[in-house]
Amino acid sequence: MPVALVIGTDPIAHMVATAPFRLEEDEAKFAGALRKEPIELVKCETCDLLVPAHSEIVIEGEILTDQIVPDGPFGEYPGYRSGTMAEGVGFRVKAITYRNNPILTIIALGVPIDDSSIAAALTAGMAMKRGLNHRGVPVIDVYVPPEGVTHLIYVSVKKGGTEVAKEVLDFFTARRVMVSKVIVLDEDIDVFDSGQVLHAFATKCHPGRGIVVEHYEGRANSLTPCYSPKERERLKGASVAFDATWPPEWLPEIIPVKASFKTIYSKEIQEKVIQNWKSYGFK
Amino acid sequence: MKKEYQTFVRQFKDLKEGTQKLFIKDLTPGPRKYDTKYVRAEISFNPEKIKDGDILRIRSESGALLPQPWGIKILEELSESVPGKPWEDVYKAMKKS
Repeated sequence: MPVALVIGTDPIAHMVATAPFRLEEDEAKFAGALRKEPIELVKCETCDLLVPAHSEIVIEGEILTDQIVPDGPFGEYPGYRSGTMAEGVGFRVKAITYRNNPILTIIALGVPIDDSSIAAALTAGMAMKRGLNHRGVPVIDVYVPPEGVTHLIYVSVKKGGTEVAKEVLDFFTARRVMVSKVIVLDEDIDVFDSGQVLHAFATKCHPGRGIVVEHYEGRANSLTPCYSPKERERLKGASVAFDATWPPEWLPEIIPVKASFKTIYSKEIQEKVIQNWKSYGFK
Repeated sequence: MKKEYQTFVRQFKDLKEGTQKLFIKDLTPGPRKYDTKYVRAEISFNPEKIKDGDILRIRSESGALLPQPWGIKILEELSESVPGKPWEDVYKAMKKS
């Protein structure tokens, strides 16, 4: 199978390359839409594949589907040296094309925040939101905090509760499981603000009935540092959803009211304080 | 001057003495550092047991380095790839579940 590896191209194209796409979807069009200008493509020297025209280096070749070549281990994206030499994919190089004095761009994976965790925060979050929507989950937003290295995800939903938390967890555990912890939040929480998320988790997730766990074997992420050697070998693991939403069956009168500037003061007082803020000596 | 190589195991106890087939990475400084070879080699936890041998450093799956390196003598360099299905180890684990 022909393959072309592209090193050093438009940063948006690299970013888009980290996002999951279906076979029929066109990554180059998507990257072009984001940069508001098409990505100029050229045909490879040895096959019909198209690659960004202004790449620093392109390595063309073919995947060997009947050969095993040792792969890794590397400093991995969860932030640890983990993994053994895996039975990886062999690649036979047929041609290398490059610009004059090319720049070899690399990624140094490890403890976040790094290139990988930032890319995942943008592109994996977008793909997860699309997938949850497709599954019928009333999702508002998804954030993949870089510090959580795609093991921890924040999901806000229009309507919460244990059943919705289970639906969210089902989405993340349906195939190969890369996510081990999900915090499910009400729609008033800004998932991009980890302070708000932690407050909601600390106060709204019931320690007894607010935690949904699913165990599985044969599809866990072996790069999960807390798994034992045996679990990694058997791809055995678990994922958990922390339901930090108010139970949907609760009447409005029993839902605790937030004691914040915006929720316990009248509109008039809020406006007065904002207007006079500088006169109080604050900046 | 002895050359240094590195290999990886899930746990240190997984590595057995004697003649073994294993993947090693060459730690010789230079542009070919980390070059991976598949070899048939004699290995021992006591480097002095292997005449004209080199040094084999061993790391576990979690990245820990075994404090005492083993000895290695490469008997034969094997093909850099072996017949099989890529990611077979993952597929096997998935089938078992």
